[in-house]
Amino acid sequence: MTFEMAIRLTELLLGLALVQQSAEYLVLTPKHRPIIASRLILSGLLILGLAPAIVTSALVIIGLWLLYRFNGPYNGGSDRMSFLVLICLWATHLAPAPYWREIAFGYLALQLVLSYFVSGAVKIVKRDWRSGVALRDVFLFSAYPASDATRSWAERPQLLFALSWAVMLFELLFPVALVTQSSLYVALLCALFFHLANAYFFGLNRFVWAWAAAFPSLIWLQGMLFPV
Amino acid sequence: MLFQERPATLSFVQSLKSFFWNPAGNKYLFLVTCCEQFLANNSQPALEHLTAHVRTGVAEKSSAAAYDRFRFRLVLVFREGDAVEREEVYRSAILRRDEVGVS
Repeated sequence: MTFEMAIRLTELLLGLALVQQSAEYLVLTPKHRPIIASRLILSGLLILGLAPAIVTSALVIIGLWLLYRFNGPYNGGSDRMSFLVLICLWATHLAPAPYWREIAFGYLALQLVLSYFVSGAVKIVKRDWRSGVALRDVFLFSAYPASDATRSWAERPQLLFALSWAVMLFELLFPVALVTQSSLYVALLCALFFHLANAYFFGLNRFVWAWAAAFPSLIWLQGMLFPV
Repeated sequence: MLFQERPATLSFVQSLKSFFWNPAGNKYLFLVTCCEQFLANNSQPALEHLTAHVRTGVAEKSSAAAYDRFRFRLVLVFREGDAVEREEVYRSAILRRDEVGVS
């Protein structure tokens, strides 16, 4: 994937993520409609690829305002990732030289890899994750807005033990997938499935959009690091 | 979930819809973040968001004068060995339903 194509795809996917978030904000924070509506329009312009340097600059300003308004990211990790993608895209458009453009975009890819690897490393050192108890507790007690049917999965300890190890191994081995383009595509498909499962079971829909927006940066970086 | 019944089941269509549109679920996650911020840093803005949400919920769900005032508490659920423990970590003052706060 060429650098320009990866940038364009990131703009498209991030634009969709921000449209989805902004539409929800319109309902959640009616007294801030003018700002959120502006964000919605800017996200549409980002999807279309119009004046991306100006559009991303304006989106960064609104993003900072949202951080102030909600005393941090509204939706935890997913909003952090959306903002990271936005900042890297913004820096890519404003960077004065091709070298710095690639550094800014490559930083996003690096953060994507770390988001999985660090998450897996944190889990595997914990006894409750290795035994499956932690995942059982996620289904039983976590604050995620899950249905009763989803929570009943907590009664399947063997399945949750297997799922715990599947998640940890996937996250820890994710960097290895960078070696070939094919293995990276398989890993990204697994990642997409992982985020979709979290959306299906726990209602974490924003994570799918936010993480998917960072995928093109990694596909580009892999091609740079291991050219065919 | 505050002021919202947890669904018994979610159909595939409902889950698919929530992939695109899930403001209630995401607001709930925001409130969880507020709880974490309040408990970790005694964040007053986070507490104000929580109080405003409970106040709105009380106003929407109750019309009786008996609910003119309210208080709420935060309960932490955690595992201690094999046992699951519950600990009340915050109890609000008695608050008026009709006060204006952040939302």
